[in-house]
Amino acid sequence: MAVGKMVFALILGSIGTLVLGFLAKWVDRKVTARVQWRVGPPWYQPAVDCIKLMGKETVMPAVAQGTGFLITPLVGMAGACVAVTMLWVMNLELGVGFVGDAIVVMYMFAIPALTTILGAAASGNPHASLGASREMKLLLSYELPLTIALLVAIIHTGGSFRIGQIVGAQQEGSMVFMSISGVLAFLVALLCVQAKLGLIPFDMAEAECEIMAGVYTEYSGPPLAVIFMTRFMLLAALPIFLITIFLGGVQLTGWPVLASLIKFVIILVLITLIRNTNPRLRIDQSLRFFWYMLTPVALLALGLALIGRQYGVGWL
Amino acid sequence: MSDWMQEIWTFIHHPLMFPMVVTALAGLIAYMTARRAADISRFVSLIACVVVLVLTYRLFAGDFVELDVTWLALNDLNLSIAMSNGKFGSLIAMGAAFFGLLIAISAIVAEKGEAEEGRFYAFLCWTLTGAIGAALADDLIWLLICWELVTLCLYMLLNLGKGDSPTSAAKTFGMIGFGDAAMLLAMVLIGATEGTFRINELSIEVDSPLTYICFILFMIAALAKAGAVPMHTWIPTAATDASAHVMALLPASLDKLLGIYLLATFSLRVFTLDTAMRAVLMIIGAVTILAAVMMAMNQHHLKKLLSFHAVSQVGYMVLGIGTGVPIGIAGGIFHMINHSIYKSCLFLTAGAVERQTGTSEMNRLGGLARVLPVTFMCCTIAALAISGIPPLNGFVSKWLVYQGCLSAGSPLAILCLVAAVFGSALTLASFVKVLATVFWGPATTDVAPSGGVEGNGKFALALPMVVLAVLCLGFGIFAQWPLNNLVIPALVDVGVPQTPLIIGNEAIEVSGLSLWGPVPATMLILLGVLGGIGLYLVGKVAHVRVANSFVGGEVLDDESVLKFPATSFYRTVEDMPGLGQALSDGGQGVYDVYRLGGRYGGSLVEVLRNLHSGVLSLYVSWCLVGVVIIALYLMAVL
Repeated sequence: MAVGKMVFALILGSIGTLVLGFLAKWVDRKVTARVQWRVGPPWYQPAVDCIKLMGKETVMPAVAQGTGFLITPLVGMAGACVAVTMLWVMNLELGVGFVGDAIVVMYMFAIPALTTILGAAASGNPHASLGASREMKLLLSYELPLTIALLVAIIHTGGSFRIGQIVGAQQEGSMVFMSISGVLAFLVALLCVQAKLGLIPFDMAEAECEIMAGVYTEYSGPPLAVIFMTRFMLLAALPIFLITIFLGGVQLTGWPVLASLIKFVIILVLITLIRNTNPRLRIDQSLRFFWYMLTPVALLALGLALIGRQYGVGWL
Repeated sequence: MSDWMQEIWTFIHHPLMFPMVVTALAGLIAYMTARRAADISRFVSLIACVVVLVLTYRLFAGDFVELDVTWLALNDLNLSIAMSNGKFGSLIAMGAAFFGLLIAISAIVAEKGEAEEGRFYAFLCWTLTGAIGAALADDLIWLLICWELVTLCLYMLLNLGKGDSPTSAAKTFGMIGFGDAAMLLAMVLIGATEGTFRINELSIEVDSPLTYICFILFMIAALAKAGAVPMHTWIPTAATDASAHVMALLPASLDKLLGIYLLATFSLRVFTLDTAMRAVLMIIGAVTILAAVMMAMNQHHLKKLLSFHAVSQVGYMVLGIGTGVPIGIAGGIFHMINHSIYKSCLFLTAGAVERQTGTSEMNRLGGLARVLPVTFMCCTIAALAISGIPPLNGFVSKWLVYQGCLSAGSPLAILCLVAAVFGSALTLASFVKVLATVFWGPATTDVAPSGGVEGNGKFALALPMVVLAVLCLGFGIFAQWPLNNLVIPALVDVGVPQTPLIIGNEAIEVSGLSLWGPVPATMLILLGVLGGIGLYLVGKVAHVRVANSFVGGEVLDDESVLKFPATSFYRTVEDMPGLGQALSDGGQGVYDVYRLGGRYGGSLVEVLRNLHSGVLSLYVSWCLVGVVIIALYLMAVL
């Protein structure tokens, strides 16, 4: 792709995802409010929150490493922007991607978590350090089953790391979800996404009532606004990622728009419901959950997918 | 000049021999002046490193030359000094000279005034002699001699360390020596069956028990040198006492270059592997990645932590070569180059930290980013590179290895792929711990700074780190250049059946265009950061108020409670059922083949010792038994 087009895609993709993220956050808050028998905020509330934070002063702890503390949220947002741009472009123009772009997207989605950890460490706050340690362990715990789940989809769609091919194969044939291993892998990936978003039951890195805001304790003003925006973008992008890998991709033309939108909202509401109906796990519990429970499930799915490929049984 | 003098002059002046002669002489001068004039040894070895770098570069870039001098001819046994500048070998030689030069520069400051400074330079030069010789050798016996010289120099260099270094040096020598003995055995077997010691003439199909044994013996030698599981335990043991420079030179770069060179040459060019042997390589690779990185996560001694990563990363190289797919092999070889770069850089930063604070215990370190900004930047770049974060060099080579696994396609390859991807996340985890506890967080008070490292014009200490960090960035962002100019010539040299350049669509992507485009990706990330800065500027980011850390209104008498100790960072993982026990066993050396060998070997020796009772009649009866057996054998044969 030409450079100009790429920059254009980045700007459009990021802003589009951000807007979608504001709306997704609103859906999340609205559903949460309904679950808790409240009315909930108006649709523009998440955006207004961010704008307000932009005008506030920045409080910096005396022991913090200033540059690292302030720059990490920006790098995290940049990582998220590149990830969502790639996701959009590869969904909408199936031929554009390159070999292994799925791995790049996975890595890019890990960058916000990484910068959160580094920023927390730079803030020098003990609660933040505790949160950073938990966030890192959480990243470790879900990365393993998520990788395996992704591989299941790759095996179903012809064994390529290229998102364009993963989506294309699903649109020509059937969705990855339409098989036993696909369902298992999707469920595993859904829980991993829950953890990636840092939502209950996997919010131990911020755990407000326990370690204040954990990794975000010392953040305020514009840096906090940037962190919020990054998280909103992820809230929109990760369900899209799931749709891309397991549910046949996102399409923005004709009737499939509606199908894509319905899938998106269903995943979003599922995530919100999980977060509203579960208590928080401890970090050791979630490590055990992901490594000792979900990983075997994911491996089972991988085995089924490999057997299915070997003997040409599509529904496995 | 008489004839024989002329001959010797031609011999030492031969372009393949000359780098070895230069370093050997420089080492000799450095050794002789070590006690009296360390300045001379420093100067001589620096000059030698520069000269050798130029010479090896000319070998790499120049035309093919050969050297063949027979020094022993007994009937069939024909031993010769045979060398040639194959692309792969001369790449390794050039790499060795490059890292030798950087370490020598860094040592100007770091080793200055040390009691053994002069000898350090001497051994450094001789290490280069051995490494260059081994990389260019075309004769098995000559290869072994040079290879052994590197082992010996490593032993001597480790011996210069502090504390319990003689023990760890002995362990190193024991383990690598075992590998070398295996190699000697394999060479004798090959010499006997194939009738030649020339590497270029060998082409062996691995199908009979004998060829399996030969290959496995070579594999042991290569893996002991490179440090893959289970022959890896010398690296962590050596790391605690050895100086960071020695670690940066040998286990981090030269041993990897040589070990993987040997593995690649023998598994791709000399032997033709079957699927079983490839599977063995892949399993060794995957196990190495995971086991070592798990151990690394729980370390709180900086150099020891790095040394476990020096083991773990070998797994990617072995895995890549084991896939047998051109992309995977390219990834393995590129990873070897990249690993040497970032691991040397990391060990040098660890050296700077140790020099500044006098300790490598991560629990006693903290807040060094302010004191050592350059070290911190270099360490961050190298740490992100080793964790495979795009757009750094580690990402590209790991990505190639992943792609290789996927192309290999077997269920085993897919499982290894999972191990490789997950190992990368674990690597990131342990480097996050390093950055968080060593460079950030509250500064430690109980460690007295011993003179500014970066101030006072200590340019020589910073330069190698910066060069290596820049290489991490450069080889990542402009990955096509090293791939096309360093890796692919090496691939062609080891005879990878189809080079990635000519496989077809997918492969053309590998050598350039629509592969992972590091340049645009980097640009996009930078653009994203710029956009964020724009947001900051729109917002009131300039309105900064500095306040105390928010700890819920608690009044702190002692600021040290703000410190989050390195030991508790991953305690949760240590407490995991099953896994925790395995890790703690690993920490106590339950899986250490050296320790196990010592224990069971000791019992065996004890049995033999008990046979020596000193009773003459018993000895005579043993002799009689022997004579009877020989007589029976002779009767049967005749």
